[in-house]
Amino acid sequence: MTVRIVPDQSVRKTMLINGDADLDMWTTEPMIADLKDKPNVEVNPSPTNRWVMRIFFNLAAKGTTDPVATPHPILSDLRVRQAIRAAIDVDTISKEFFLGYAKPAWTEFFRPPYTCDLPRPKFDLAAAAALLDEAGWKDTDGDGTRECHGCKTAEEGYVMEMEFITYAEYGEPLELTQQFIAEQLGKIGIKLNLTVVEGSVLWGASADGGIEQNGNFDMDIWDDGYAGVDPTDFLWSYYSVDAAVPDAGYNYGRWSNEQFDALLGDVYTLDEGQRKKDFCEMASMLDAELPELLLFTTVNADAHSSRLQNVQSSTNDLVTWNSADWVIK
Amino acid sequence: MATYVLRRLIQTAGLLALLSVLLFALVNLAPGGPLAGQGQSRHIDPAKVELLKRQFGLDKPLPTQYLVWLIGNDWMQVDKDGDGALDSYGTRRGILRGDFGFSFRTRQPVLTEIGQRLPNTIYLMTITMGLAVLVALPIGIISAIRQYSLFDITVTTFSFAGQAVPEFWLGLILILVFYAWLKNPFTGGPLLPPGGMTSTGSVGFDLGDRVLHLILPVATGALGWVAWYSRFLRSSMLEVIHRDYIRTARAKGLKNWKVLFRHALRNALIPLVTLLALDLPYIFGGAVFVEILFSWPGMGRLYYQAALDRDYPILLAVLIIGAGFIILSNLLADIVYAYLDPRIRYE
Repeated sequence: MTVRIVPDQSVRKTMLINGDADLDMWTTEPMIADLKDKPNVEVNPSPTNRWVMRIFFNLAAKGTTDPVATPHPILSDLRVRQAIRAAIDVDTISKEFFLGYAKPAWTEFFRPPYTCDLPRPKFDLAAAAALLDEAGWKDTDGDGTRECHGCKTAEEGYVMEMEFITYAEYGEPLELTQQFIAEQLGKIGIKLNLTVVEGSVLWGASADGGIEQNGNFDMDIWDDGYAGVDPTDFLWSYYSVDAAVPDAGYNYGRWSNEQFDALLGDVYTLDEGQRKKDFCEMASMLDAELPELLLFTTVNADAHSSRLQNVQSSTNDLVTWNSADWVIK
Repeated sequence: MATYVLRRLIQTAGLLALLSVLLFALVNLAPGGPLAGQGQSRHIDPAKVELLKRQFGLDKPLPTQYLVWLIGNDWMQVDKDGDGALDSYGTRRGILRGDFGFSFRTRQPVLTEIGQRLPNTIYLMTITMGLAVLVALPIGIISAIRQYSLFDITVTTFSFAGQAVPEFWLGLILILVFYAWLKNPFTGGPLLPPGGMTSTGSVGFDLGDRVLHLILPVATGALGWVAWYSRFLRSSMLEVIHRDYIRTARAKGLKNWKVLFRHALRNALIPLVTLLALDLPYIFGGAVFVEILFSWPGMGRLYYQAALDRDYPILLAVLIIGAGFIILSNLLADIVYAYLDPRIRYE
């Protein structure tokens, strides 16, 4: 097997079509769409998805990491987070920017063996606007952006304007999604200022100026999910109170819930029935409190030439995991 | 002249020392770090991050890290296994003793990484710039002596286009045309390869294969240089051919080609040669877009990847060696200028 590093995606695509390459790893959505009808190329998606595109809400004021001492003036109100959820049209994002390869996901427990039956949130701009009204965020000056008029988390007149960050490496589909979400939230009076940074800046350690570890954000969007079949460690690192300490984990929103933490301790058991029950209880808590807003899964696929057979993408490993079984026709 | 060169070399050492401090500070203070997740690799286990920090010496204060980078750490105890306790003397010798450390990403010595890529970049850039000069020279000369002719206007238009067209776009179009669309009439395969230095699976040196792989990257890289050098030579020639001594040469009855090539061109070339000397660092630095687009394993790609990965040792080595090249090429330009123009004397 000869491995060639071809940095440019369009060159890789052309090489595959021309038959000069047999495999392209981590094929992106636009490339899948371009390749799907080519006679000598096959796209092999993983049978299960792992990566869930999600919005992280900072529950502490931007630049701080303690949501109790310094709560976020906008996002610490649950109704605001719920309004944001109701204002995002996931189906349009999937169809337009991820070219139909994104599948709606609204809970961490969307795939076997731990699936929990939670109703899918509805896209409803009117309901979203009503939630913001109820939370005391109104646009009284008619400039299209709401201000705090009776809200409980900010000073009177505080403008509903936030920074919305994503990372550059994913590419165009995510950047378009970021812009689309900003437009949609703009319709209900939430103004988002968009920023695109490198992953190393977004996820860097606090000493390296990492945006999330230092709490230097309002909202950001990126994708992650647990590998394999056991979500326990993943849940700990994203939702436990211990993981909310800078550099200790990835609970960037600094959400804390004692009951959730207790359940996290309980699921370290071999009793599958208990685990399923606990996980679904956790799912309900996360759905009710919305520390993160899960939107959709992204595709995990690799493209290969038709002459290369038995290729099977896996969301848990590189596509080469079963290369011993590959056959060239 | 010797005194001047010596003085400039001493100044160069001082300038490099100052640059080393600035570059080290800038690279280290930029947001993001070498131990952060990148691209699809979201996170590294926090415990592992701490261990790596100690092993790489990133837990030390910045001035100490600078000192280690400069003079090494073989005089101090370090935490080799990353367990939090100093256990043995370090092995780094510092850049002043020719040790640029090792890459955080590949764990290979920096000079090994550079040594693997520098010949590829010199190979590509020498041919690109050499070809650009060879093409630009006649274009510039003819444009000047046939000022406002159809040739001049056409070349001027193409020169502006050549300078305006971004390399990444031109490269993609060339790949599309010569790799995806046009076919080799004998083999039925693509007319030209889309990238790399040699064909996949090729063994040994195959001149034909090498040349085929050079055509597209060289064409992409050279277009801008051709436009730039030809425009420069045209204006330089125009300035010279209207001088009094050219008129005198013509009045004395010298043949036109003699006037142009013996008197005008020699003087018009002086600023171009200086410009070429100033452009020499590109032979070391490479062309990032061309190397990425054509999968060329050179310095430009190494630097780009190191910047994305925050691979400080590689970044710093490329930057400081690049700075040295720039300073030395400036000195070279001054020397060449004095050699070509007898009126110039350095005291």
